[in-house]
Amino acid sequence: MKNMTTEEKVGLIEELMDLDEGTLSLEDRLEDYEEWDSLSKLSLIAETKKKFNKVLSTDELRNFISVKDICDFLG
Amino acid sequence: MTGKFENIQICGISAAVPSKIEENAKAAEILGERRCRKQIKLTGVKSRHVSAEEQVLSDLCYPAAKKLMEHLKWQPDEIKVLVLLTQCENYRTPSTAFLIQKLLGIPQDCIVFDMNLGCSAFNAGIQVVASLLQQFPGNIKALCFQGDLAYESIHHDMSADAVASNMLFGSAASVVAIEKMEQRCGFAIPIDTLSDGKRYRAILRHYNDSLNMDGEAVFAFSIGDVADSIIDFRKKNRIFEPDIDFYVFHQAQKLILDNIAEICEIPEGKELRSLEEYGNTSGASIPLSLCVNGSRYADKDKIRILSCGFGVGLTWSTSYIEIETKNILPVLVSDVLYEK
Repeated sequence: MKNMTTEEKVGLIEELMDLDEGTLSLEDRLEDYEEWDSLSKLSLIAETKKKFNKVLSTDELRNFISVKDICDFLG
Repeated sequence: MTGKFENIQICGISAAVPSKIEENAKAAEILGERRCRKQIKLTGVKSRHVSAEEQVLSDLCYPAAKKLMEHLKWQPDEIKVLVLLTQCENYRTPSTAFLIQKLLGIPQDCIVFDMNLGCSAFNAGIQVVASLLQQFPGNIKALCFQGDLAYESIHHDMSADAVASNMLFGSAASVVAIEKMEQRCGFAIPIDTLSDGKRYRAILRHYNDSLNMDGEAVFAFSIGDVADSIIDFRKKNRIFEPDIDFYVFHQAQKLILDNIAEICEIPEGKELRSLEEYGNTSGASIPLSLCVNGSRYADKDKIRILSCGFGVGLTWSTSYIEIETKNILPVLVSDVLYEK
């Protein structure tokens, strides 16, 4: 598993959601952002496959409520 | 499990589409600019060919086959197997393949039927037809069809979600001419088909209903199972990069194709696509991608293609074939309505 800092992980999520750097904080709820749409979710599935060779399941994706949940998943 | 055919030739490929082109940018009238733009970005489809309401699948299959048979100088009475792979038959019963048999004037000494498969159709069809041909002595010819239809869908009386999901699909039919040779050919064709019934609900359509697709599950499947199987196929069959002229994948959508290309480390310029102008054309997408890219292989007499069709089932099927480029016909455009 690649070791990323929390900052790097949040930055990756911002990039996937096409948001400016510094927009997201750990406690933010994903559903509050209209940018958390199918394109972002698919991009996250792609990134986790390419970076960690792990394919996100639909259940795992649905369990992400906050930005922190994704960061915790990324390990 | 990999099957291997040592006496099968892929003799030719032809495809047909209707003339009407639907531009996806028009969907902004219903979806709004932002959602429309994102959908085009995600899918990679800018336009698609769509069928008139009266057009049925055989209306595209027949002219594609007639043109290919004329080109190859194949006679109707030489065709001993005729199979159509589709989710979009003319009738509940009989198989649409029987109408195609009639239209082509193929006599009774022929095995004819439809198979209900979608995006995996190209390789699954070759695998089934090639297997059927093994039982007969001598040189035996067959036609294997693939295709599905999409209709005009940017209507103001359709829901935004329906319009958005329809923006992906286009109409096309294709046909592959296959011959089993008496002697072993120089080129042995490996084909590997995998299926996962546990995920049968991922792409599902009930009768008289629209398609339900779990986008995330299908995406995860494509960049996971499918990409891994392509890498595995190359390794198992000892097919190396210089052995492959082109990769052609089922034209599912752009994000899937781009990620498969990255994960499988496909070199720049080695993939053939038809997604942008024709959309996702289901089982016909691999043959169509060959037919619309003639300029990419005009300098070669023969090309070796590694292709993978994947989708509804879920099922995924990979093959490595060789074909003479003069027998890959440019795409035919047809709106003619034949007997139905």
